[in-house]
Amino acid sequence: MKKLLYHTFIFAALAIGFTSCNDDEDPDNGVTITGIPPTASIEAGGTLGPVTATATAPDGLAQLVITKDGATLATVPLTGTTASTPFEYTALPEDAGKNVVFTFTVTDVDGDQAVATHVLTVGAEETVISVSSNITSDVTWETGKVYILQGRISVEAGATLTIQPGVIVKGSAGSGANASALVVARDATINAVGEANNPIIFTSFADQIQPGQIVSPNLTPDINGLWGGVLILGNATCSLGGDVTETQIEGIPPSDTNGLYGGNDDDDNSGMFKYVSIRHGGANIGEGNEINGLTLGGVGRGTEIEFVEVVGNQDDGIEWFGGTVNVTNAVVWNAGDDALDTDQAWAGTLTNFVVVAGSETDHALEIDGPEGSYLAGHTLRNGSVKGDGANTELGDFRDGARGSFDGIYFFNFPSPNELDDDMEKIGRGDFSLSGDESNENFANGDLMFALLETTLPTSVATTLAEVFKNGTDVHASDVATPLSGADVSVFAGWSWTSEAGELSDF
Amino acid sequence: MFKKRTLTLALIVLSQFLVAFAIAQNGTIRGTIFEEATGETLIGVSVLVKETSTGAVTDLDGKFEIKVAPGTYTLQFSYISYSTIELTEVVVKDGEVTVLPDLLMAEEASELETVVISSTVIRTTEAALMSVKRNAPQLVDGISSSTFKQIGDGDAASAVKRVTGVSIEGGKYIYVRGLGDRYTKTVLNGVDIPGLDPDRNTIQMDIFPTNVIDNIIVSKSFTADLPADFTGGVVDIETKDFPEEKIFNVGISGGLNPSMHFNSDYISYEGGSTDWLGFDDGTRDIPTGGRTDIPQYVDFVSNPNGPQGQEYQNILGGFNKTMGGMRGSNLMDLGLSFSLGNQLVRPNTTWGYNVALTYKNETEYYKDAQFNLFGKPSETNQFELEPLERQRGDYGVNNVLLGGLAGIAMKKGYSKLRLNFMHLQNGESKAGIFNFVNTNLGANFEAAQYNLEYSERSMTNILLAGDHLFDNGAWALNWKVSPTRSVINDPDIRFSRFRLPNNTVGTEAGLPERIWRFLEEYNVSSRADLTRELKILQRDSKVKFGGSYTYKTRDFDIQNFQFPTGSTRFDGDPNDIFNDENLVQQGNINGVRYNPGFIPNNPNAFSSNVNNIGAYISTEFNPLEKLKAVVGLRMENYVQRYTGTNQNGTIVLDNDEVLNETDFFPTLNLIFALKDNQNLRLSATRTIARPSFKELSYAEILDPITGRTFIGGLFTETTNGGQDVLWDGNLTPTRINNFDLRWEAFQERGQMVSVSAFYKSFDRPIEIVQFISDPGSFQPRNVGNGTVLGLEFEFRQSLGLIAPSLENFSWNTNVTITESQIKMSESEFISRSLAAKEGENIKDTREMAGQAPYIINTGISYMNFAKGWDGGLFYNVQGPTLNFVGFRNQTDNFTVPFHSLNFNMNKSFGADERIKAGFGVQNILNSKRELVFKSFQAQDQIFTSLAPGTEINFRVAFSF
Repeated sequence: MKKLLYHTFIFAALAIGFTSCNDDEDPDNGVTITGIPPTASIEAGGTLGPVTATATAPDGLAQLVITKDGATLATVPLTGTTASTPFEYTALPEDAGKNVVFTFTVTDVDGDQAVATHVLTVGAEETVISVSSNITSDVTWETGKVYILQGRISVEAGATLTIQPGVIVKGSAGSGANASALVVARDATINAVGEANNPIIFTSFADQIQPGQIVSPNLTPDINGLWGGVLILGNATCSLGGDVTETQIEGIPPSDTNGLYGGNDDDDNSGMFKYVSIRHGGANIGEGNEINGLTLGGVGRGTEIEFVEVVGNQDDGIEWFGGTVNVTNAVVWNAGDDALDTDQAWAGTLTNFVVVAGSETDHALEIDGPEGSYLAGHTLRNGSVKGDGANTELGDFRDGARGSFDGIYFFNFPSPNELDDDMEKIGRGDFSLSGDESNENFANGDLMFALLETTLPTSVATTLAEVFKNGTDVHASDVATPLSGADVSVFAGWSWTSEAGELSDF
Repeated sequence: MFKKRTLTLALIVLSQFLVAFAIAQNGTIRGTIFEEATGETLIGVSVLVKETSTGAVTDLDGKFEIKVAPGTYTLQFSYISYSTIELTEVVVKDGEVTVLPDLLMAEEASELETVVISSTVIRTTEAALMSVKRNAPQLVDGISSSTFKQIGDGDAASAVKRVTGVSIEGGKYIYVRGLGDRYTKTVLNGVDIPGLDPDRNTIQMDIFPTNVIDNIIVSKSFTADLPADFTGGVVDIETKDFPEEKIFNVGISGGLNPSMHFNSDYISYEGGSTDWLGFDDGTRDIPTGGRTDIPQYVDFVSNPNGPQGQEYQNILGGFNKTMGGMRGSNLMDLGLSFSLGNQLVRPNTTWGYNVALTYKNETEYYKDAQFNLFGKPSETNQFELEPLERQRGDYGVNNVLLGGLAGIAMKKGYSKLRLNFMHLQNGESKAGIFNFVNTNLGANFEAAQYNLEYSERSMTNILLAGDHLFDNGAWALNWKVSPTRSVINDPDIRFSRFRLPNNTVGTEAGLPERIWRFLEEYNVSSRADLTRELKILQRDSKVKFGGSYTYKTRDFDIQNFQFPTGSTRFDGDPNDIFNDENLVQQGNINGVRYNPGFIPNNPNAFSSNVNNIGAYISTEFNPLEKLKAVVGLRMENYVQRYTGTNQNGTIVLDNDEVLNETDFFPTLNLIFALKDNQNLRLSATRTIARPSFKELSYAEILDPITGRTFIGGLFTETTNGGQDVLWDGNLTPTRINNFDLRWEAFQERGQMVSVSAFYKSFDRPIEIVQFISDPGSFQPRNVGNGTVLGLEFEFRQSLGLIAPSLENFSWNTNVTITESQIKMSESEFISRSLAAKEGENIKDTREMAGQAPYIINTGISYMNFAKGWDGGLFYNVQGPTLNFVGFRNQTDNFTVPFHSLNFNMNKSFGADERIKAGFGVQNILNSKRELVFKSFQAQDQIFTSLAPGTEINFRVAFSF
C-alpha cells in the first residue's frame, strides 16, 4: 500500500512586471486571474498540469489562495502587478472516481478578489493493469487487482515480483512463441503467497473471473491452451545431455536468455509460491516444445512451493527439469498431456499430491531419468491419482528413471485388457518401466516403490500384474479402501478442483 | 590434310539440313569464324564463293551469310595476316540453310598460305566449347546444348553434373569443386538472378529445361569482370540467342519407372484445377487472406456468436478440409517441348528470333522412405546410436514444370541488340503417409503421420543486352540490363499425427499444423563492359573495364496455424479433423480450433534489400611471347538492409543497414603456352562470401517440419551466466584467397587431358552452429579459419588409340579430390567435448560442411554420324559429405555415395535426319539416396533413405 502517490504540488511564484505607484490617487482598480481551465480529466493517480495561473492587479498583488473541495491547499504571497504561478496536482488515492473542485482566489493590496474555479475529474482507480515489459526492478501486484500479461513477461535477475493474495493474473491471447507467460529468471525472486481462502489465480484473458472468485464464471475446466504458463527457473543442478551446466527451457526461444536454467547452487532460492492456481494455459510451440502449467527448471531447495493447482493445461500440469526444490500439496486436474512430469534428475520431494485426469490426459506420472552423467532421483510420497476411466496411463518410468515412489493410490483407470474394434488390446491404464536402464535401476534399488495401491477395473478381468508391469506388482495391491493417498482437505477453500467437487470421491 | 601443324583447325557444331517451308530459289550458307589463338570470333573476314565470286564479310559475331543457287562449292576465307582457308565440298540445297562447322583461323607470321579442308561434316559436340576453354583467360568448364541432346538430360541440373568438379545436391543445387552452396554462384546470361529457395545461394537448376539453354559455363577461377562473391565457381546459364538456322522442333519424351509409375499405392491429394500447369488456382489460399488482425480463440471462447466469434468461425471453416492423401494409380512421366527460331536477313539488318516452350509432368513414388533421428546414449562407454525418432512410410511427388522463352535479336552494322523474355513455372505437390515412432527423451509413442505439401515457384526474367563495336573493332561495348521477379509460395503445408493405438491428437505427438510461406524477390542487374584492343609490348592485348549494379529486394513471410483439437475424438482419418461438426462453435467450445503462431510478433517475416555496385579494370597482355597475363582489380560496395523483428518484438529493424563494406579484389591469371596445344595456368585471386538476407538478422524462424529453429546471426550467445561470450553477434563476410595451378593439353577432335591443383584459404568462414543452450536452434556464425586443398584430373580420349574400330568411342573422365578443414566454433568444440565417448579424441578442427571429399564422373560415349547413332554409358559419384553438423547427443550426418549409372542412346532417322529418337536407362544400379548418422565406434544409422528406382526414358523429336 505504501507506494501510493503522495500529493505534490509545485508552485513557484514568479513576480514579474513590477510597476511603481505614483502618488496619484488612482481609482480603485480590479484584479483578474487567467490561465486556469474550467475543467480537466485525469486518470486515477494521474497528474494535472502544470497549468499556469496569471494574476493581474494594477493596484498591486497580495496573495493567491488555492482550495481543494473548500479546504485551503496553499497560500502564495504575490507582489507586483502581474504574477504567474504554475500549478500541478497529482491525484490522491481518495480522489479516484470523483470530481475535485479547486478554487484559485487572488487578492490585491486593497482587498479586491477574483476567483477561478477548476473542476478536476479523476478517473476510477485502475484495477486492471497491463504488464507489457519485463520486470527489472522490485514490483508488487496488489490485492483486488487484475494484471494482464501482454506477452512473455520475465522477472529479470535481481528483481523481485511480489504478488499479494487474491491477485488475478491473466495471460493475453497469443500462441506458439507469442504465448503470454510469466518467467521468473535465474537470480530473480517471486513472492507469490496467497491465502487459504484467497488464492492467487493465473488464468486467461478470456476468463471473466473477478478477485474473490475461485470458480470461473465462463470457462469450463477442460478448456486449455489459451495462454502459456508460469516458469520458475533457478541455478540448481540439472543432469543435462552433454553434461552442459545450463540450458534453455522449452517453450522459450534461445535468443531470450531469461529462459536459461541450471547451475550448481542446490540451495538456490527463487522465492515463495503458495496458494496459487494456474488455469487454461499450456500454449504449444512445437512438438516437444511446449509450456507447462507450472514449469520448474533448476529450482533450488531454498525456494518454497506449496498449495499449487494446475487446471486445464494443454501440455503437462507440473514439470520439473532438474533442480532440488521440494513441493507440497499439489493438485493437477485435466492435464492435456502428462499430469506430473519429471526430467533431468530432479532431486526433490513431492508430498501430498492429487491428480484428476481429464479425457486428454496421457500419463498421470511421467518419470524420466537423468540426461547427463549426474545421477539423482526424486521422491513422490502420499498421492491420490484418479484416471478418466478410458484413456489415461498410471505412470511410465523411462530412460533410467530413479527415485522413490511411496504411498500412491490409483483408481478409476481403464483396464489394459480392454479391446478395440479390431479385438486387440488397447493397453492403456498401466504402470510400466520403459527401457533397460529403468529396469536395471528397479533391480538394483535406484528406482524404488512402496505401498502402491489400486482398485482394479472390473469391466474386464484384470490382474494386478497386468496393471503394474515389469515386476512392480510386488509393491502393489488391489484395495477397496486405500491405506495410502493424499490428504485432500488441504485443497479445500482455495482450489477450483476442490470447489468443483472433484475431490469428493477421494 | 593440314599443311602445317601450326594450322590446327577444328571443325565444329552441328549442321542440320533443314527444309524451309518458304519457296526459295536459292540456298543459304551460314557460318562463324573464330580466331584460333583466342577462341574469339573474327570480324571482317572476307568470305568468297569461288565458283560464283559472290561473297560476304563476317559481322560482329564473326558470322556471315551468303545466298547461292543449289550446288557444291568451295569457300575461301581470308583475313589480313591470317592464313587463308579453303573449304571444299560445301553442298547447298534449294531452299535450305547450310550451316558450316565453326572455323578457326590462325595468324600466320611468315608467309601467306592456304589451308584446304573438306566440308565433311564432323559433328563433334564439345569442340567449340573446348576452344573457348583452351583460350579463356580464366579456368572454365562447360557443357553445351549439343551435349544435352547426347546425354539425354532433360534439365540443367542433370546436365551440368557432367562438368568437371560439379555435383548436384538433391537433384537441384549445384556444387562446384565440392564446395557448398555458400561458395557457388549462379548467374543467368552473366547477371545475377534471385534464387528460388530462401535458404540457398544458388538457384535450383532443375527448373531450367535444356531447350531454353544454349550452354552452361562454369568458371572456376576469378577474373575481375565476374561478381566477387564466388569461391568455388560461377555457373553461368546462357539462354539461346541467335539461331544459326531455321529451327522448328517438336519433341515428346516419357519416363517409366517400374517402382514408381502405374502404381496403385501412389499417394496424392486433391489439389486445384491448375495443378497440372504448375500453379495453384486458389484452392490452397490462406483463409485469412494473410491478415494479422484476426480474432483468436481467447476472443471467441466467451462469446461464440459475437462478431469476433462469427469471424473466427468463418476463418476456421475456410480451411481446406483435406488433411490426408489418398492412394491411387499414377501415370508415367511425360514431357513435351517445342522450339522455333530463325534468322531473317534484311538489307543492313539481320533479325533473329527464338521461341521455346517446355512442359514436363513427372511423378515419383517413394516406398518405404525413412526419415530418422538417432542419438548417442548418455553413457560415455555406450557407443551404439539409439533411435530417437523413426519416421517410415510412403510418399508421392508430382512435379510440373512449364517453361517458356521468347527472344528477338537484331544485328545492324557493328551493333547487336537482344531482348529475351523467360518465364518458368514449377509446381510440386507431395503427399505422404508415415508411421512415426518416438523414443526421444520425455516422449515415447507411436503415431500415424500424414503430410501434404505444395510448393510453387516462378521466375520471370527479362534480358536486354547490346553489343557494339567502335573504331573498327578497337573498342567493344557490351551492356546488359536484366530485371527478374521470382516468387516461391508454399501454400498450405499440412501436417497431422494420430497417436496410436487410440488415435488421439495432442501436444506430445504434435498438434495438426498448417503453414503458408511466401517469398517474393525482385532483382535488377545491370552491367556494362568496355574492351579496348591495343598493342602492349608489340603484342595484341586487351584492356577491359566496366561496372555493374545489382539491386535486390526480398519479402519473406511465414504464417503458421496450430489446431488444438480439444475434446474431439477421432478414428484416425486425417480428413475428419476439419469436419464441420468438429470445429469449435456454440455448443462445442472445446472443439477443433486454430491458433495463429504469428500474432502479434512474427519473427518469421522480414524484408531485406541489397545494393551492390561493382567496378573493375582488367588487362590481358603477353609479357612474353608464350605467356599471357590477365591482371585485374575489382571493387565492390555492398550495402544490405533489413526490416524485421525478434520474437518478442523488443528489437525492431526498419530498413537498417546491417552490412556496408567496400572491398577490393585483385586477380592474377597467367597462362603459359608450353607448346601449341599445352597450357600451364596459374591464378591467384581474392573473393568474398557474404551472409545471406536472413543470416544478417534477428529472425527466429521455426521450421515446423524438422523442429529446428533458425536464429539470425545478430543475436549473441553467452554461457556460464553471461561470463563467457560464445558468439558476439558480429557476423562478417568471409574473404577467401584462391590459388589454382593447371596443366592442360589439347589434342585433335576434342581430346584433352588436364591436371589441376587448387588451394583456398577462408578467413573466418560462416558455418551453421547450434546454440549450446538449445540444441534445436541453429545460427550462422563466423568460425575459425578454414582451408580447402584439391586436385582435379580430366581427360577425353578417343578409344581409336586402342583399335581403329573403336574410333567412334571415347572415354571421358574427370575426378576431383579435396581435403577441407575449418577450426570449430567454441560452442561446437565444447559441445563435442562434453558428448565425447570413452577413447574418443575430439579435435578442434573438422571438415567443412557440404564439402565433398571426391567427385568422379566417367563415361564411354559413342558417336557414329554416318549411321546417326550417338550415346553412352555414364557414371557419377560424390564422396560422403558432411551434411548436418552434430550437436550434443546427435552426431554428424553424411551423405552416402550415390552410384549413378545411366545409359543413353539416340538415333537419327530419315534422309534429312528429321526424326530423332532416344532411349535411356537411369540409375541402372538401383542405388538409394541415403544420409547416415556416424558416431565414434558405432554402426551408421539412417537419417534419410529414399529409393528412386530405375527409370527408362524415351524421347522422340521431329524437325520440320
